[in-house]
Amino acid sequence: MPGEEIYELYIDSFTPETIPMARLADYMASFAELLGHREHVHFGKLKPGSLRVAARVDEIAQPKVDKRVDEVRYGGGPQPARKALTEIDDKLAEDNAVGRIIRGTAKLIEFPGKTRHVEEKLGPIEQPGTLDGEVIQIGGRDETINVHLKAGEQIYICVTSKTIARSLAPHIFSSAIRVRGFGTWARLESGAWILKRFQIAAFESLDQTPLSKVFEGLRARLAPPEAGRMNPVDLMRQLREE
Amino acid sequence: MVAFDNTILSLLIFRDADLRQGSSGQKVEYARERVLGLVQEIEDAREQVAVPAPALSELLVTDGVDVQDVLTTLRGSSFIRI
Repeated sequence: MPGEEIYELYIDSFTPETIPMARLADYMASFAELLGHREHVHFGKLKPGSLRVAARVDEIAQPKVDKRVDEVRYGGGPQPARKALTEIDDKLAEDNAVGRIIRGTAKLIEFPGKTRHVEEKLGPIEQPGTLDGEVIQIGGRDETINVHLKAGEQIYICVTSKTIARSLAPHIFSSAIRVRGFGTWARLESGAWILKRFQIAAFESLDQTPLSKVFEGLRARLAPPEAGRMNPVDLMRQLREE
Repeated sequence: MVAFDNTILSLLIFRDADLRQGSSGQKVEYARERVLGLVQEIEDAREQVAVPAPALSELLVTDGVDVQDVLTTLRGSSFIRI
């Protein structure tokens, strides 16, 4: 239809005749999620040859869809869109395929699929560490209490003792805190590290002063000595050369 | 998350720090202002800054630094991770 923009998901290992219907539905679901704005994104058609799933985007939503795809392409954008991007690449790798998203003649996103670098799985590894976030849930029926910590779009599920849980309670839905303890981490084949478990041993409230004010305050307090001193940047350079 | 090295941190917290380049030691114009602009962008995006421990330890050996003040301030900020 006039005014519409066409986005295509290209998959090299299938044709419209060979792709199983359920698999096609999987790809289309992830493709739709990546493009977003579902009320303005419609299925176009399957093109012959190597599989190309065409999606039609209404004129009214084109700037938003363009922006979403552009952001995802550089690792940003909404979390569901980023997840859809990963899912498409995972499916392509499973299907021994590579793919891309095309708009007109422009290749917007390349999916390495079967050719991507696979990291060795590692872990679980336990090590001390910290997590920052807002407490959004505390609960449990036995001695181990679950604490949910929200950091941006990520939710960390931690455990702690009843004593610490009681101290954390006044901070729920309040300001950001930093928890200290032991985390159990594992590395996936994608190279991403996931937190399996975090045992909170202590926590502290965090200062919400804006970053610029933090440095401004330090700059005001850390005056040079009366006798003067070497330019701190030059001093570091000199120390490194010695 | 953006990580700051010792040079960026020095410009941010020492008012007498300046940046020079090349064998002639020519001063980099508006170096601090540019770094402050970056900090403002990070602040607007509500992102955190990573301060690598080696960069921080270099900072702490500078004359006139109140080590406890710097550590307490940086460690306690919601927007900084050491």
